[in-house]
Amino acid sequence: MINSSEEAIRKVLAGLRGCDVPLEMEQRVLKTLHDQASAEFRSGRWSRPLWLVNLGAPTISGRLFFGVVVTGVLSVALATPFLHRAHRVGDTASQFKKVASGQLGPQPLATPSLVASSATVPPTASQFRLSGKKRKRALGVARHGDSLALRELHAASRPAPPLPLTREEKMLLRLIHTVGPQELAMLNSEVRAKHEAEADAEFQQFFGQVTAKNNEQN
Amino acid sequence: MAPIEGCGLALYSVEGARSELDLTALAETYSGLLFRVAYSVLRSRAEAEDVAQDVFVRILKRSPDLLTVRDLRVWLIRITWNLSIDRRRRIRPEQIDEDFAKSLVATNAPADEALGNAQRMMAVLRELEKLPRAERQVLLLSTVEELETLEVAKVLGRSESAVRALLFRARTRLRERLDRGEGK
Repeated sequence: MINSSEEAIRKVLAGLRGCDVPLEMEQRVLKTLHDQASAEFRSGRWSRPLWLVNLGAPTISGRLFFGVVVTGVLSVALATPFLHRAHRVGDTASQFKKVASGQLGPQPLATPSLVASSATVPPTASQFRLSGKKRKRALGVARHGDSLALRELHAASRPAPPLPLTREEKMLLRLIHTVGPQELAMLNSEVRAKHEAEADAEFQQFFGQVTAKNNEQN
Repeated sequence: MAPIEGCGLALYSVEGARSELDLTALAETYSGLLFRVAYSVLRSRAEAEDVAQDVFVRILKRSPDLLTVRDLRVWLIRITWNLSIDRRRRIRPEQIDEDFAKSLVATNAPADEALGNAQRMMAVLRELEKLPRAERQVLLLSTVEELETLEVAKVLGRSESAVRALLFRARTRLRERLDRGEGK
């Protein structure tokens, strides 16, 4: 039996102090907050970032949002190989320009790096002959034509068209086909000088002996 | 305590500000304290839990205001206190106090003794509500274990010594009134 008012006061205050927090109250609080946030977002009164709101329980707007995000990611993933290929074709086109601008001489075209890059879309003779807009258009067609690139890749190698010979090349050819190796060696000035010196020495030796005999006979 | 599975409200950006507020951490840290503050006024577990939820909903709605809050803990206690007072006006506190008083009485006591004790408790609660506002506030807030005198002083906007004085006066006045009531 509570006898004094002080004891009653102490007991009441102890009762207030000793109250335990209900089990799982925090979860209920957070659940209420989440529901509230979803309701606010659906009503459009709240400009909270979508990705933060929609991480929780799925709603119709949340599903729509994530659907859009997933579609975007997939489209980027699908477009990346095409973009990459187009970039590589662009590199090939710049290689074409380099080759066509000045390096197209009698020397062979197939340097290792160029062969490697032209393996994707090999340059055709018609592309080399084209210039300006036509070449761009042709390259553009090649850029978008995957099948064309493959066809070109697997096509049989064609020999380069015959080019006119220079004057020096023609003289060299004439020498090779008309004179023998000894004459060809004469083209070298050192060899020629050495040969002339030997001839002189031989002449002097022969005619020197003849003149000495004549003198003795006289 | 583990956060709710699938609850994505843990982090959210405060609108118009760069700072972020971790609402889950807030709930984990302060829900117990706010519940006890509300319970000291309402003396009903269900009502106190509702008030604690209301406080967090208000935080959610008025997030930009939080950026100007210096002491979040004190601010939360003040909000809880005011919401609890408002709610107490709307409910029937007599019935709730009666249930609370009965819960304090030992169950193994004889019926007449239990009834007498419950009535004494009810008298204490009635007189407590009749105390001057500042004294009642101090007395009730002092029942919250987590709150020290300094924090009570901050919540009430008074000095620490004033809070101690108010607490002493509240208990003295309450005892005197109860004794006077018993004498009648």
